[in-house]
Amino acid sequence: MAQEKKLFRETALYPIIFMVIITVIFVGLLSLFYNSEKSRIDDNQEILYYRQILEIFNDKIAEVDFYEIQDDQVLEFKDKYLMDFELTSEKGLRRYFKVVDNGLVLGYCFDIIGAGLWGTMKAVVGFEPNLETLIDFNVYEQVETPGLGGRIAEPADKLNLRADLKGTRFLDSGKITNYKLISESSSPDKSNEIRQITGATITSSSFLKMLNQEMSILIPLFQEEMAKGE
Amino acid sequence: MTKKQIFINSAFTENSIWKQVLGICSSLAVTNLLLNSLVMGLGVIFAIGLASFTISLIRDYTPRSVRMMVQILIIAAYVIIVDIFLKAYYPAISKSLGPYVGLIITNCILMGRAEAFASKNPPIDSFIDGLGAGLGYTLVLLLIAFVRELMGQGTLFGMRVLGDWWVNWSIMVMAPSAFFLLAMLIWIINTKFYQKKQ
Repeated sequence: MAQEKKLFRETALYPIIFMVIITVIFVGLLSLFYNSEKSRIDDNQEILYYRQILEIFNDKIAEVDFYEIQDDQVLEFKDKYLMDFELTSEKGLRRYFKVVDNGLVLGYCFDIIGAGLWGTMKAVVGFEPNLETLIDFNVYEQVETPGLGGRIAEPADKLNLRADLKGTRFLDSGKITNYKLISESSSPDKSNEIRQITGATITSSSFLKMLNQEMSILIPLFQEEMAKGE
Repeated sequence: MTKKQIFINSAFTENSIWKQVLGICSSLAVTNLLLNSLVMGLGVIFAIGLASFTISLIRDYTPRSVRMMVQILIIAAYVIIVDIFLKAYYPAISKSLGPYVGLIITNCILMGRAEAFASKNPPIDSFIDGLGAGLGYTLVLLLIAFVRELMGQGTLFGMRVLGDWWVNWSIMVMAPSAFFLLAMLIWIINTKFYQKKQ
C-alpha cells in the first residue's frame, strides 16, 4: 500500500492534482475572508469618497468642520448638503455634485479621472458656482509611489501643490488657466505658478493634465445641462 | 540550532538586507516615511511568518517540480489577507501605502526564506525564522526611514520635530537617498561586525 502511494507521488499527475487542491483551498479561504469584509471595505470607500467631497467645501459651510466629523456622520451630511448628478462625456460617465446649504448653491464638485505615473488617478474637484474659481481638490484613488507621487492625496497643509491650486482663478474669459509647475522649494510669483511635488514631476504634471483635459470636456456638458435646467 | 539561535541568525547575523542584500526595492521605495515603513514591515512579518509555517507544514507532500508555484501561491494568499485587512480596518494607511502592500508578494525575502529554510525545516522553526527575517527587514526599514523622514521633512511619524529653522533636504525624499543610506548601513555593519569575525 505504502509503495502504491509512493508510486502515485512519482507520477506526472500528482503535481497537477496537488497544485489544484492547494489553489482551491487558498482561493476558497481568500474568497471567504474577502466576502466577510467586503461590506466593510465598500462602506469605508463610500465614506471616504463623500468625506473628501465635503472637506473641499469645509470653508463654505461654517456650522460643520468636516475634518473633525465621525465616519457615521458623513452619510448624514452627504444627504444634507450634496445633490448627485451625472454627465455623459466621450470618456464615459462622470459624476458631479451640487453643494447646497439651505437652498443656496455653494459650488459644484466634479469627479475626474486620468492617468498618473503608475496607473489611474481619480479626484474630486470643487468650484465656485460660476466655475471660475477652484475651491480645492482631493485625490481619492491613486497608485503613485508612496511618499513621492502618493503625496498628491495629502491635505493642503502638507502639500504645496494643493495649497497653491486652492482658490486660484480656474476659468478666465471661459478659458481654463494654463498652470505652470515650479520647484517646490521656490515661492510662486504668479497666480498660475504651482509648486510641484519634489521627486514626483510626472505625478504633478499628470494631475494638472487630468484637470485640464477632464474639465475642458465636462464644462461644456455641464453648461448644457444648466441651460436645460439640470 | 535552538529556536533563539534561529531567530537571532535570521534577524541579525544573516539579516536579509544588510547580509543577503534582498528586498532592496521595497526598502528604497517606502522608507521616506516612518509610518509607511512600519506598516510595510508589519505586513512582511505577518506574511513571511505564516507563509514559512504553511510551506514547512506541507513540505513533505509538495512535489519538487511545482514547489515554487506553491510557495508563491501561499505567500500571495497571506499578502492579500494583509491587504484586505488594511482596507477594512485601516483604510487611511491602506490608501497611503497604495500598491506597495500587494508588492510584498514579489519581495525576495519571502521567497528566499521559503526556499532556503521553510522547505527543509519543521513548521515552528520556520515560523520563528520567518518572524526573525521579517523583524530584521523592518528594523532596517525603520532605520533608513528615521533618517530620511527627519532630514527630508523635519518630521517623525508625521509629527514636526525640527523647527522652522530646519531646511528640508530634498534628496532625502527621493529614492536615491535610500541607496546612499543603505550602502552606508551595510558598510558600517560589515566593518563593525563581519570583518572583525573574519
